[in-house]
Amino acid sequence: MIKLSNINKTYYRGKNVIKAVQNVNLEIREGEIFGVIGFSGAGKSTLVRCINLLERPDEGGSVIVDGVEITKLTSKQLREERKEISMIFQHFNLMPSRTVLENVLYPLAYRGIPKSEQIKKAMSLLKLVDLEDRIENYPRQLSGGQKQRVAIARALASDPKVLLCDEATSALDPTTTQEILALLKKLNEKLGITIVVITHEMDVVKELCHRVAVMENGKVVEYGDTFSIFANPSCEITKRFLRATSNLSKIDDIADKIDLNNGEVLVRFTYIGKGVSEPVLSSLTSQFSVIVNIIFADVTLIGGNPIGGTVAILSGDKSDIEKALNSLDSRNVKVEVIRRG
Amino acid sequence: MVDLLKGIIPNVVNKPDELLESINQTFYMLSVSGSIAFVLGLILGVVLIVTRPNGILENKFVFSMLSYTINTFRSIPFVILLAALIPFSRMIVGTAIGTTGAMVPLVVGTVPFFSRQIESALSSIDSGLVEAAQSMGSSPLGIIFRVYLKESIPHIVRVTQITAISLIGLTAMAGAIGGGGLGDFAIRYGHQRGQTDVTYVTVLVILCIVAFIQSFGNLIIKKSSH
Repeated sequence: MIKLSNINKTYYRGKNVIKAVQNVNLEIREGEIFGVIGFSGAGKSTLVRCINLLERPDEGGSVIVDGVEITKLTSKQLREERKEISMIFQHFNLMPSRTVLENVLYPLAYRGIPKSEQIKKAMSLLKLVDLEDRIENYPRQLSGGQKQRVAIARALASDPKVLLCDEATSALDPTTTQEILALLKKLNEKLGITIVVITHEMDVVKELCHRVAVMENGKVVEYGDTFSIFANPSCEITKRFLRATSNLSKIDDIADKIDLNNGEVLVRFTYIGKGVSEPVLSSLTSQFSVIVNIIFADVTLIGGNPIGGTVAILSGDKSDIEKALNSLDSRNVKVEVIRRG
Repeated sequence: MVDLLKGIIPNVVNKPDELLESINQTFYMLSVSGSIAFVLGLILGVVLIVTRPNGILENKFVFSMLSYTINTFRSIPFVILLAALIPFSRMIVGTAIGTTGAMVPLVVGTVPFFSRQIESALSSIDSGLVEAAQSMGSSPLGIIFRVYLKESIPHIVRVTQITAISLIGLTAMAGAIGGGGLGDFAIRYGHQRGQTDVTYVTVLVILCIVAFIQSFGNLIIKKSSH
């Protein structure tokens, strides 16, 4: 659906050369929700603006959306094409002097559509985002979540194939964030619209994205299926994001304070494959007569699959413990011995 | 009543026609030069906004040329402008004196100030709105009318009030080249012939005009702010 090849974006600020995006190649599939995650300044906002050419990539880069190489279009053709690629923003960017209805009518006006048709279309979209009773209100009178829903309705007015979300939930509280994520998910399933989500919030990726690209310093450092990326992160930056949602690494801070008896082992189990769940631990007891004392566990769902793990003290016969640990290696559970007593 | 007025403002009461005539001339100068200056200033202000660095039609040459020209004209005191523009006025409107002759310097004196005011009014528009409009496929002209101008109506009205009121001051000065109007009236009788009551009445009339501009503008601001 979207193919980015060789995307670079360089800014010249006097003598400073800022390479905001460097040599990015990505392919986003039709109908998927694709996440771009990174800390602020990683270049993700610039990258997403290269998709609708709000930022034009440096010479040599090409952007293909639904078979059209938009980097080669004239400005008039580009404006037509932009109606296929809608965008919502962190700060909503609604027109403050227009009512909710007028905001949704904005992209419909001056396109040769009869006024009654425009209103019918806008009303059906406002109904879709559950705001049909607020049409006469001005943006100032709405909450953040409502504003974003108006922005979504406005973005859908031109029947786009792609919806770009630039930190769309970053200005919202956690409950409202969930609400907007649920709405985006619904739109993706109901309308089949391809969604590109830019975010620094792990929760957003976790809830929403089928696939993800991790960005750092203008480069895509990891890219693929969301579960595989986070189940087995190879880059430090990805691990940092994972840590933001999982408490499992906190054991390192308290590991020294845990008293271990002779022969006991402090271990961290991390789930790295799909379909792993708690019974693996109880099998240690039943199969190898090893006693498992769980210190703490933290499991979070990514794309419906558990990711995370458990920190536990194993006690029992030394050879039994080794056998138990080896058995887990082959069951998509990563075993790390933190300390031996 | 008439006797009472005769007692307080004798020199005004004995020339009501001249007072009315000069009010008329002030309104004439204000409306004609004001309208022309409004349109020109609005256009130049928009040009400044769209051609500035990172503007939607960024053009370094046009922006800096216009910006320097505006600064140059803004730094010329109006009294000097009145004298300096005499040949230019003759070329444009055929005369350099009288109410019509005063039009040219009034417009030239107002436009640079007003276009800067418009520039500042339009620059208060959140760049996110412009970006949103671009992402929805709006053309530069569409963005100018549907975002910049439409979304800054209250600001535009506010700076128009300020400019209109300063224009009243300029029309009074234009009396110096025989432009007529309330300023001329006050100088001729109030100052040169020592008829102080004429000066006071003139001030009162101008105060009323200012109050009218203020309240009319405020009404539009109230209607257009949400």
